Amino acid sequence: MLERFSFFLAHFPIAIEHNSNDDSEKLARYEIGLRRLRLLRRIAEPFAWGPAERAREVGEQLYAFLAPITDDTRSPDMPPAARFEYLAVSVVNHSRVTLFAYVWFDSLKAAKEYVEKRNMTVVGGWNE
Amino acid sequence: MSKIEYNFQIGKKVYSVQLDAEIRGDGTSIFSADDLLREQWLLGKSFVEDTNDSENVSCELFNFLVDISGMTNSEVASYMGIEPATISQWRRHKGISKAAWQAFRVFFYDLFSNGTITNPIFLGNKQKIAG
Repeated sequence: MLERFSFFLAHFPIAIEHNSNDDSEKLARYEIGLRRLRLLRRIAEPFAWGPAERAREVGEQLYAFLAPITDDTRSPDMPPAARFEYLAVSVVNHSRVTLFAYVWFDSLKAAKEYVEKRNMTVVGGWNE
Repeated sequence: MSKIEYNFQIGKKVYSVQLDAEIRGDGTSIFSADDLLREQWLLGKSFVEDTNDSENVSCELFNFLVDISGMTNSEVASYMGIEPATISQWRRHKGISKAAWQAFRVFFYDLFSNGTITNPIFLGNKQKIAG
């Protein structure tokens, strides 16, 4: 399964989706994620994948990445309880890789519950 | 392709850059990640080369610069020849000295101008710590 992520890790993300009409808290969090994109490109690891709601129509797949937050990577702009940074990208027909979500989780369990609710499958060592 | 205004909020100030974007009917815009990363560094460079406001740095601006550098706290610290905990303290509103800020201005200017650290003093610091 991890090889499915290799292309996306090499190219991820090539585009960014941004909704300026979204709620302010979500926008502020997303902006912090975008500031950290250079670092996240290096340290985020494949976490989960699955079909998007639009999968049948446009062949869209979702790929999620997770980066543990340590003293070495923590930004004071994050909530103190945050332990993981989560990124999600969508891919349509194996072409454009678009970042559309940046979320913080207090635990690995919470991150797993989040993706499983979205019918995504956790991959790699995160299942151990 | 249209132009959108992307805002960076640093402390209470908002800075805008123009980006080429595809705008959808629902108000969502799609723009290039590389364009955004380039604009982040151009903005960062403009902050550190500004001689009119060069004596002090706010914690918010310092955080922004470290965040967009793409480096961990320990990587930045290794180039500067200081302890990683010092970077963490400065990021947590402990205050950065004027002298340290002047060294950081040179560091960030080097990174944002060249895309990598080229200054032999910073490279030497890193090699010394690695060795």
